[in-house]
Amino acid sequence: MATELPSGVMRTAFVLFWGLVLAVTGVTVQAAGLQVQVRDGDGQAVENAAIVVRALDETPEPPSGQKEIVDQVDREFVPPAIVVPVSTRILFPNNDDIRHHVYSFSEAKSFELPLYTGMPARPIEFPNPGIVTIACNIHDWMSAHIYVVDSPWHGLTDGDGAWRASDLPAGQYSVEVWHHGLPEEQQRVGEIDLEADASVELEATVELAAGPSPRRAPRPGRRGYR
Amino acid sequence: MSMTSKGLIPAAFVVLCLPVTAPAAWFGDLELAIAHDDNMNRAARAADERSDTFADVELVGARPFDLREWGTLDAGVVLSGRGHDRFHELNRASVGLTLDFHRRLGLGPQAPWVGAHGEFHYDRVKDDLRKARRQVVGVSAGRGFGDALQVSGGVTYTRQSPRNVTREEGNAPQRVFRLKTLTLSVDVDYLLANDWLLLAGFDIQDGDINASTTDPDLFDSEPPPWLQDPVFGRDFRTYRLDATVFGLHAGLSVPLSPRSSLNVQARYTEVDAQNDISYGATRWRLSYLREL
Repeated sequence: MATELPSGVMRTAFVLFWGLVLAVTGVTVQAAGLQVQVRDGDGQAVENAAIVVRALDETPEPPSGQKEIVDQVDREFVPPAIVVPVSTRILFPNNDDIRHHVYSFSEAKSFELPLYTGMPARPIEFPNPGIVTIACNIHDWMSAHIYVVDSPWHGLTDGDGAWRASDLPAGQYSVEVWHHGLPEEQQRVGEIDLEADASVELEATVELAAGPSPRRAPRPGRRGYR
Repeated sequence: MSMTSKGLIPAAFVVLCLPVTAPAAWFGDLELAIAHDDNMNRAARAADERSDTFADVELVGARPFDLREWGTLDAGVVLSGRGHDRFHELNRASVGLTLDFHRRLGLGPQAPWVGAHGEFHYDRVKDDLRKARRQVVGVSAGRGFGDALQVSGGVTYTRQSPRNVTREEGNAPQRVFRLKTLTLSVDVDYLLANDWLLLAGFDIQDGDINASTTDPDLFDSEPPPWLQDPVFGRDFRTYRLDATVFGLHAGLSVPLSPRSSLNVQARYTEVDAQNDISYGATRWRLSYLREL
């Protein structure tokens, strides 16, 4: 005569069993992969474009209160592009031995850190989504782009113009490409239907505005003012 | 000591008294250039014109100083040399000190800016007559229009003081290479989408110039200061004339990397001097610039 086990023990055993099976086989429940490849109109890979993925039904809030650093080294911003969730606080240390004057006119965040060296007194918070372009008022060629996003699924394209995610829940998504040379109305590049354990590749071709930006290369007849 | 170099001492004192932060590291520029001038001796008569090709090398080392809310100041040392293909007597080596002040009146590349600069150079020319001290002071201002266009203008006073010349033939040889000029200039930079930079400018210079001729009767009476100048040929005389010089230049600067550029520039000058003397000259210059 079999002895009947309590239902709670049965439930625990069931969960442990299937958890062990999934761990051994390496299968992640309902996770899907996505690769986005971004090229410009000439077919060249676009590096440092922000990829923002949103669920069509409901996108969860990204983690809040993150801290990041955008450094200044050898009269350049490092990194030249960064993607962060809203409410991130960014420090702008100056590791050069000359002073920089960091500012932004961008709608998503305008601020100014007057001439300083070393560590500024406080980080700057970025509470609104959008593209924030920062620059130095002493060295015009210095600029960087901060992509402030309101989705937990985001990243930057690499040197091959690619971004990959492997942990998206199954579902329907919109995919956006953010780039300072791309108008806002052209950011949305596609919709995808991700099934569990599946992988989707999306190719996006974007027409980037080719506006000039101050160059670092020296010009004849003007020395000094560095 | 000239008035200008005397003035540099109190100017340096003022600079030292400003609220300057600790000086930063040195930065440097290297320029290698080759140029051709179709009227090197500034001759009014076509038969007297002598063209030449020469090579320039210039090395600049400077330290930036932050003047807090006042602006930025660069103090630099300039070492330069020039070698001529034909007229070797014009070969020279120079050493100079420079001060460049810059202040932007607002934020961003489009904000207006003001600047001032002072330079002191010693030119050691192979031809003894032309060894000279050269002082330059000037002020400038500019601003950007849109993302691509920069317009600037300035006024520059230049004074050249040669070493004493007593033994050469002429009516006032010690005065021929003593030059003072005042120059008003306007420059326009236009940045193309591929980072190529178009450069153009116009300047008017009032003051002294040197011009050479083989015509001994160029001036009937009361000739301006002149000396016998064998640098350009046995029969050449070089005069110092009071003149107005109109200069026009255009060029293209192509970046080779974020820290280097290849530049080509053409400059045309038209001179109207006393006694209805006039001449033109065109100079082409190809240069490589590198931030060190």
